[in-house]
Amino acid sequence: MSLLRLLNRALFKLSFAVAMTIVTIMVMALSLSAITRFISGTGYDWLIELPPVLVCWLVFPLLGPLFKQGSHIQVDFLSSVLSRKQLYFLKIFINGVALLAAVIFFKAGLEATQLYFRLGQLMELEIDLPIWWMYLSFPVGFAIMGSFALELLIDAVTDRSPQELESE
Amino acid sequence: MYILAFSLSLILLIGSVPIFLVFGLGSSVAAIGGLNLPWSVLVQVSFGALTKHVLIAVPLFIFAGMAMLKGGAASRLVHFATTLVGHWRGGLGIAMVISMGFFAAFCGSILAAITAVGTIMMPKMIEQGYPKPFVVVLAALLEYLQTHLQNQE
Repeated sequence: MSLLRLLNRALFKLSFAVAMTIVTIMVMALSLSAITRFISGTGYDWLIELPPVLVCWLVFPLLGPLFKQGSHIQVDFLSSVLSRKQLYFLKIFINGVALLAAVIFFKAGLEATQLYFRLGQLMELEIDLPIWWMYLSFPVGFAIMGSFALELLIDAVTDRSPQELESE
Repeated sequence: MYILAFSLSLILLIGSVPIFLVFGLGSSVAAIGGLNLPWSVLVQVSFGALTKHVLIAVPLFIFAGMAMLKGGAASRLVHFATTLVGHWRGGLGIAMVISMGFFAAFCGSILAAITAVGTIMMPKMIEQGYPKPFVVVLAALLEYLQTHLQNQE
């Protein structure tokens, strides 16, 4: 369990570092595109086409860390009407569903990535990137999410409060 | 199968499961079970939706808002609006509406304005005794200001 927690802590930091780098690259690419277009009158296509390609590597790896933080949008009116014991089961249900979904989508993403890897298709962009490289973010993101969901599920089953975990 | 997908989505939604999983699982059941589509199509559709150029504008608008917040433009705007109407009854609320309106007009996104100005104004209002639900609902309702902005997302 401590190994899983250690792994998730590292994944958390890595995911955010990658996300921040991608946002920086996106902003710089679009700013450079505007500058070059303003100065020379012509923009570089790949500067405009790069950000949409990077979006998937920004979104999917962040699913897990945001799930752990509780930052995803959810309808949580049940938490105000349920008793402590019922909340215990609700937490197990939410984390169990998240783990199950992560496993299903990981498998689906892996199949899609393998398919595009075999096809050897390239993106319809000025940059010759293989399309599977973009699809790879899907299984990677859901693998990270599965790891976080597993940790949260174990914590929910053992009913450990965040304070207890902090003091560990 | 569609009834199952709908029921599943409803149960997950009520059960406080994150919305992206509610939509993801519900639509997957309908697509895989009902339409017999392969998984690769679902993944492909989700990528198609993600890689639209219009979506890129959202983080950039928020970036512009954050740049204005860190640069001090937001606090100056709040100061201006508070000086203008802050002494009225409910003045802080009106000041928040005015600052968000100006901010949104500058950076082009009411969402960025709510994020940036809300960071300054909302704790201030709660501190002054405004009820927390009122402050949150007022900030959320300002989303309607988007319809008055020329530079829309």
